[in-house]
Amino acid sequence: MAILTVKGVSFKYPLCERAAVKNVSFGLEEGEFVILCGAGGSGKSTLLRCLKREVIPNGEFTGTVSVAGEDTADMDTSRSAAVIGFVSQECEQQIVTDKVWHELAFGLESIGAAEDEIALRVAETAAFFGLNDKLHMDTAALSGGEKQLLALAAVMVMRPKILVLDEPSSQLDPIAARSFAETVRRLNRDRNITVIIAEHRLDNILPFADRLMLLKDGELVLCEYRDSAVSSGDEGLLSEMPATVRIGHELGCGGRYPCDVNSARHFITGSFKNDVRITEKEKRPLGEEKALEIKNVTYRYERDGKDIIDGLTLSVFKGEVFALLGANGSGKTTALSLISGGLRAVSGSIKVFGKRLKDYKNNSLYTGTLAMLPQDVTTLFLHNTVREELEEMHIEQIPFGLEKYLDKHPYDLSGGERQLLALAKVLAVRPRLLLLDEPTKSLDAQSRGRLLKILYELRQSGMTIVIVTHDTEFCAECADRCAVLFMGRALSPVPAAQLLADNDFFTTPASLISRGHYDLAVTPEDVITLCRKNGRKDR
Amino acid sequence: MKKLDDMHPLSATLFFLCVTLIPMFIPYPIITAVSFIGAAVYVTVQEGRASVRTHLWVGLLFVILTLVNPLISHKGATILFMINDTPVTLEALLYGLNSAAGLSSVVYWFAAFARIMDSEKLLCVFSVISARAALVMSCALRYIPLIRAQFRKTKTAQRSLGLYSDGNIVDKIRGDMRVFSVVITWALENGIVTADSMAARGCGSAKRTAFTTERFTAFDAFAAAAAAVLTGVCAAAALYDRLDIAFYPDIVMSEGSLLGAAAQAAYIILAAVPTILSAGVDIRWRYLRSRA
Repeated sequence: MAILTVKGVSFKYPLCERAAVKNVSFGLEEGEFVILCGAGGSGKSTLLRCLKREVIPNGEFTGTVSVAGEDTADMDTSRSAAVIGFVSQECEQQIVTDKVWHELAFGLESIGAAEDEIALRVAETAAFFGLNDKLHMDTAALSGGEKQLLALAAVMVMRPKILVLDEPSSQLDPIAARSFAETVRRLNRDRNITVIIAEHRLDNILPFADRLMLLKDGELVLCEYRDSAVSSGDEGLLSEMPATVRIGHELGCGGRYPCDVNSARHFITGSFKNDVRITEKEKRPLGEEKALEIKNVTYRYERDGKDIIDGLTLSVFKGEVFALLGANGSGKTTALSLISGGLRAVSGSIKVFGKRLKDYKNNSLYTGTLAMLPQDVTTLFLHNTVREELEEMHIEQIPFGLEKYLDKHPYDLSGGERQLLALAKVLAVRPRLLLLDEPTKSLDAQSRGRLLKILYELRQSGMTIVIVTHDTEFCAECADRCAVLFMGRALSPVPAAQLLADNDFFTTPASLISRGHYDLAVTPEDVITLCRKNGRKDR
Repeated sequence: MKKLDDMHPLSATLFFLCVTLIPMFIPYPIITAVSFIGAAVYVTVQEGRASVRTHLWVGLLFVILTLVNPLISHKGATILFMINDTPVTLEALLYGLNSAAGLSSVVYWFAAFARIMDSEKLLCVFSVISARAALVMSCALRYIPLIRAQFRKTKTAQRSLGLYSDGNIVDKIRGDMRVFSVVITWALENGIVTADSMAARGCGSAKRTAFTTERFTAFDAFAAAAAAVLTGVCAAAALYDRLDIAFYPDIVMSEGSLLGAAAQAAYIILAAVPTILSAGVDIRWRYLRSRA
């Protein structure tokens, strides 16, 4: 019997003319792993929220959602809260209490479980999620990935049958995202939990999926088993698929689409010749003039702490796009704050366009020289409408198609739109050096593409750009050179393609798929071009 | 036997309340002196070397409080000397000494109490009042640091837009005000997510259980009962005027009585118990270790 049955669910936000979700019906079998796809604004989030009675947004809701044949609207409140678990993308805000153990206990406290039962459930869940040594920690002291795991654990304490996950790893770095995906998979396979998940990046979860659903303008247009869904060739679906599937599709892999690196690699090496091993790319000449020169910079947060930045030496040339990669906590963001003058180095010197940071007097650094897009772009917004935000920066020509949102509150914009507004504000000071801190974090495929295009244009106009990122695929698309930050130092910078083609961790799926067979192919486009040029092997 | 640190927070709180309230309501010299000495010794045992700072601060407070009274109050029969034609009396000085001992001992006890009560214990005390109160407190403990961090981040981001000038104090305050108001908006906006997360986990669907990590043991019950009895003796003595003192014009104390003596003994026990427990547990620990 179907564990989840959704019948004729529609939803309309107040003051909106169009329904956000239109007459959606589907059923899920127990233990299924389902991915909900759809472009930004297609109503994914709204649909997921409609599945759980407690988090349905304000508006007109019609239809029924039943769990194991029982309509959730008829369940008593404690049971309906427990039976479907819901985790959203905001890892910080969905944590309610200040201690890890209390967060775990929260749900059971709410439904009035006995103290002994709570203790047992918390003990069990902490053991499953490996949270035992963190029980007495402040929730604020956890990393983003740990917070999201805690949010999941705090839901699992209530023993739900169904997990609804709304872009749970969009704010996590790749490693944390991966371990989150694997935990969800473990719950799915070992505990028979039915999972329905929406996610920006499908690399981690696509191999686990039984079924895919596609939402277009609020309508469910596709709900199929994974392989047949992927091979339906729907453009909207394909644009969200990871590099492996896109390469397979472009090169006509036939019925079975490669969902992971290994099978894509088999497909490429087995089907295509490799007489031409490298694509000719035009090399952008780098200027001699240095836009940024960092020498022996050291920084620590506490007097007796250890050096986060320890002898950092780095030069970025004028007109270059430079990417700084590195693990979590390797000091990437700290390095950017030092360059932007937000933090002051303990020793060493930082020169921007040949002039030392401290010689920029009276804000002259921030007017026409340097600008920074922080990781949390909401920190740039001060007003109630997009219009006011832009007016504050004296922006007359509205960039990036923001006209549509002029009267909206900046907080009501989607992640991608916020990023564009923030970028518009930051660019209004006409910087010659632009610093970007994790610009692709929490962006969907569409917004990511748009950001990439903007960066190309800025690069054409001669702006120097320094990006700190975990997103190696983004780095492959736009960076001229990159360096890895390790032990507070930047390991020697090399051309981006070279670094990504040479490494096993700081690399892209396209490179993993094609290495050995082709050289320096780090983007899906590189691989596709090379395959086409070489042609298929003769059978 | 448990240290006060390891006792159930309710017992520990009751203990501290008794030990601090008695010298506040019964300013009898022996009581205040015992409270002062007991607290000072306990703080020393508790903090070790770090207690020097506490001692210096409390000592300074003690001296100031002692000297202020004879300078403003000129009652009393025994004149010690004159300053600008106003008398400084022995009684006023002793009065100052007594109240200084009482007040600074309260500061001492609170320092010791604050050291013991971490947020988890405080939460446990609140949860006895109501599960909801405990939840509110836990949320507050989480959100205040979060909001402060957001304030800092926003300020840095705004500065790098060139909207902040650092020279002018008026501009600085104006900038801070703007950031403050937007951080409030941010907090409200995030509150919605948190509220959803709470609702999704059934908040408000049934009567809340207050789950705490603390357990109430027989020793906790015994300690609480003992504190209550000892305080009762002191209260009785105070009620029957066996612990009265008048400073002006001459010092007159209650005559010695059995109840008064019992109350003084009771308070001595009360003030000494935290130290005795700490020292006792340490000694037992060392003894057990040496046998292992």
